Amino acid sequence: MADIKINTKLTGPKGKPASIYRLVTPRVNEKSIRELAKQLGIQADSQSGVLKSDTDKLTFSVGHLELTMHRASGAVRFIDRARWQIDDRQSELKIGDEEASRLAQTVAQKYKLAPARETKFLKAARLHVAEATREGKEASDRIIDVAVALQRLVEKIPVDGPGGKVIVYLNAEREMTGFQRIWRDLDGVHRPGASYRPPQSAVEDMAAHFAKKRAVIEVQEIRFGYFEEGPRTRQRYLQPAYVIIGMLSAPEGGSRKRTIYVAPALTNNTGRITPPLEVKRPQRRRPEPEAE
Amino acid sequence: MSIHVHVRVGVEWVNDFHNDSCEQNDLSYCDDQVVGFFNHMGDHGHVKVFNWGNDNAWETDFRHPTFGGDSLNWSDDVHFCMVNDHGGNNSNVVSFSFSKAHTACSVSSTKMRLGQKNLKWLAALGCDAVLNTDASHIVAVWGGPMRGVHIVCGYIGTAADSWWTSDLGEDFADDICDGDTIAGAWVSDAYSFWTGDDSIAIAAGVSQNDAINRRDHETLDWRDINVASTNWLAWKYRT
Repeated sequence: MADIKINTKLTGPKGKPASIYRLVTPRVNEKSIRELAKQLGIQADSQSGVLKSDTDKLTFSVGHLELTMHRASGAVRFIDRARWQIDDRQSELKIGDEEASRLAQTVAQKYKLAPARETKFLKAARLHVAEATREGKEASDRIIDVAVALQRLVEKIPVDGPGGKVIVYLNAEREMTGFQRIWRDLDGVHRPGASYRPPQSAVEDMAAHFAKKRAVIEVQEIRFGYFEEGPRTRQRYLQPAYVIIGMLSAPEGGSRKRTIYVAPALTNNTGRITPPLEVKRPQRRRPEPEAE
Repeated sequence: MSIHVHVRVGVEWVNDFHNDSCEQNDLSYCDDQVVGFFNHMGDHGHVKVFNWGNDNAWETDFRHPTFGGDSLNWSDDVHFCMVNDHGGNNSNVVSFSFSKAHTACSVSSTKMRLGQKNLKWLAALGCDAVLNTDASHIVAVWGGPMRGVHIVCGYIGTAADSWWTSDLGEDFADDICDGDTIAGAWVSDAYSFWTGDDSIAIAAGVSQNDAINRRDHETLDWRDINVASTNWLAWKYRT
């Protein structure tokens, strides 16, 4: 059984419990992707572009511009393949977080990706290219792009998880070369929150989840927020959650790995968030190699 | 853009460790990531050679025969090998941990000669492929073991064992089979704002230009364009 050690203060949210929201079923079809393409200034009449469809997503391409919509979530990714993460071997992007955030907000407003009052700056992640000889000589390192994540807010509560974000990519010329929007529209209150569970009970959920695992998990952080899934997942409700960040640490500085568990934060929640661990059939025993 | 060659794929993963000399914390999602990669590569027409999990994953599969291992029949007998378990990095030496001593509980990068036979691409999804992005550290860790392998993919520091990144292998396979560059697809797919995973891809080359070209442009179609000698490394990372 996993041994859970708490290395952080367990503090629950204050104030009136947040509501649970219903989410709009995304509309992902040829009409909707062409409408979105037009909104982005791409020629998208019925004769133009190439439309590709698979079980997960719909992709519309015109030249080097590529727009993808995920069927499960309505999440959108736009990429200019001629410029996204492309290095010209000389450009260098020197940009602070504040300016990167401001430029990303400008893009988000221009293309109506998210209302400014419903986002806050989360992080700017820089793409580096570097090289050196095998001996470490002639080393160089340049930043060629920055990905700026704007985090969604609902009732002024941050939306955590792989979703609930607009990510804007800027190149060395500070121009947008792509974006991703994982942002499911709200369809009204499903039910008001009754009361919050104490964070300790979320940790107990985590212990039960890993009951059959032999591990020492050090809980390093517990975040509170709404939880939104990633592009590939269908999600009906947006509910408040505790996001537990743990570290699987071996004694004496051995191997480490982070682990994440997400539990509902309300007593009247709409069900578990982290799926139960699957019981999988073990592999057949591998034969030993024959002795030479 | 589609891919015009077939590549041989092998994967190894460990979720469950024994309470013995090989003891480590159990993991939960290593199989999801690498078996997802394995199966999606197969769906795209590539050749699924081996999928060894838990006690079937052996350190000898990565250890070169010079050091008594059997890598030339396993990790280096495929073009693309992906491994996911506990990783470690001490004094510029990477190690992969295994659940069973066969014959040791782990293999260190000093005993790897990656690419001496067929291996072109290695993705190591455990922690600490590198600990930081200092050039001196990166070349010290990977300059020695890269002996013909074109690109190594991994993480800077710790990685997450998480249900929410369990699709990584599938996404990565789909992207590179659609013709995306290997280094670009890895850095893009493996980076996560949400889990805090920082990704890195390291390319080898006979010259600076060769290493940069591989980092920026190499796809699966470069399978047979060999790296005759690892004189330069070129890498990209997001953090």
